[in-house]
Amino acid sequence: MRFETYVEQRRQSLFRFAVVLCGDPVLAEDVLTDVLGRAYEQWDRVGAADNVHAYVRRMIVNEYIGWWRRLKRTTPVAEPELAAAPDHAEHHAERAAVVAELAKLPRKQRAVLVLRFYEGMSDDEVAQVLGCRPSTVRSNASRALANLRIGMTEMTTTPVEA
Amino acid sequence: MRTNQDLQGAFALLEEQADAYGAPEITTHPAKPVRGRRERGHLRRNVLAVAVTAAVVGGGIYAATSMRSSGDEARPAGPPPVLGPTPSPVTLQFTFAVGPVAGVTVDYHGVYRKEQSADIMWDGDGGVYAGLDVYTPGGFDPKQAMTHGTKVTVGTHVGYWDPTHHNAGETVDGKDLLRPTLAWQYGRNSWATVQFQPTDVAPADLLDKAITLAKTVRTGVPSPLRLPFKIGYLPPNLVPELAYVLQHDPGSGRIGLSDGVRPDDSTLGGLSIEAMENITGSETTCSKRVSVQGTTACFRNLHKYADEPGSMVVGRELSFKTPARMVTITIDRSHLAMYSDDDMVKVARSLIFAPSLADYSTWFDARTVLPH
Repeated sequence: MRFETYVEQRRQSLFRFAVVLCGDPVLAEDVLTDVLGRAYEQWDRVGAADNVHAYVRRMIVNEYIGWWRRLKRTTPVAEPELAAAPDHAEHHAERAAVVAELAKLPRKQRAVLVLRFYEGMSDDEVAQVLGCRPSTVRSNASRALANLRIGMTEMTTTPVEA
Repeated sequence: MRTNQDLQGAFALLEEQADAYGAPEITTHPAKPVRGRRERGHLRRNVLAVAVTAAVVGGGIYAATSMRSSGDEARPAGPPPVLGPTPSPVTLQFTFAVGPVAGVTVDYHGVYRKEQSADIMWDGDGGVYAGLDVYTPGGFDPKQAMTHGTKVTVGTHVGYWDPTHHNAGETVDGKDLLRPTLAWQYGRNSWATVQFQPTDVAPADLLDKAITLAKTVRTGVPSPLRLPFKIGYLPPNLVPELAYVLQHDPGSGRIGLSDGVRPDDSTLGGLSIEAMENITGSETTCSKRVSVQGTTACFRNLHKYADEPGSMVVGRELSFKTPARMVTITIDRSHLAMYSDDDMVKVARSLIFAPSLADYSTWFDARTVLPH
């Protein structure tokens, strides 16, 4: 698949993923632009991957985590800008509150939540993307959910390990 | 207790935000899509920018985002250092004051060789943010402001207001990202600027805000800049180049030091030390472990595009964590041959920390943190 074709097909979904991951469209835009720039430069290799889309998303996650780690060193976490929603104000406010609290999570916890509960990956798959053990994924997920005061009884996430 | 539905609702809200914003145009020019290398100031202001619509790139961020740590490599030798004269030390204290202005929050931020800075936030209005920079004589070239700006008066001073100011390379969807800027001459060859983050607030209102704020800026008013650590040991010939802090949420402080070797990134200096809030879950691999301050510290090489073949080492860091803080000592590539791992360990072991990273008042006067 040509790079241009891939981008044309996946641009919007990649951007959505990046925004959910980063919590901010401007940051997401930069992360995505950087990642696709590198993907383009290395397209012979990236385009030959078994699952190109998964590969690129993994690059996005890595970019975000590396970036966020350093951003956090010099910058406080800010509340993301939220689009106005005139209807269902209370519901919107709750969703907005969760978004705001997502923004305050440590980067790895947030990435785990997004990969696990937005992308629907298994713990093993998330571990592969993040380069850690599945138990670490479960631990991070549990902590993140606790921080957000979310009860995931229907989910398979196991309790935090000692 | 919230449920999975609330989490999915939050994801959906972010998706809506993505759709409303629109996916970026991706060019397929042979060169990497441009993400401009920008001046240091935007690194810190980026934080504020998250709450408004703004570009999230800056010189410092470029270095930050493009670097990765690696745990599988030995220390590279680095280029032979080319020694020049040791620069004069920068005095690490603020020499300006601003405000008070009703409804305006001022966070004094940093002291650099050519300017001192503060982050400004106007309450209400959905939040309006700006950076205030007070330049040393000759530190600011007013040509662009004078060419593109409209002449205004700031108290008794001449100023220029440019609501369409943009920084080179800062674009969104191919359009320049506007950072309305007021520049005014506060003294002989001496300028200060208020530069807003991109905002929907009307330019006339921004100008009012900028001038009201600018009128309260007083120069020659010393006040301490504080750092959350003291340094007991430094290799010789390192002098302060800069220091900047975030006083709260979370607190962090960094000092950058320079010697006679020109650093790759002058915004950080050749060797820098930073202490900030510990980030849970930020564990990464180590290429070498050493014992520092009663805990394990990790050496890593910093890579540019570590996940790509042919990536290059752009520096080396030593970091360690305590329950309350994460500390990082970084040298850039140009100093790899200057400072050994042992030097970095010696610096790390010599650090003395302020009692509370969360309480700025307990931090040390930056003028007193150096061993020499």
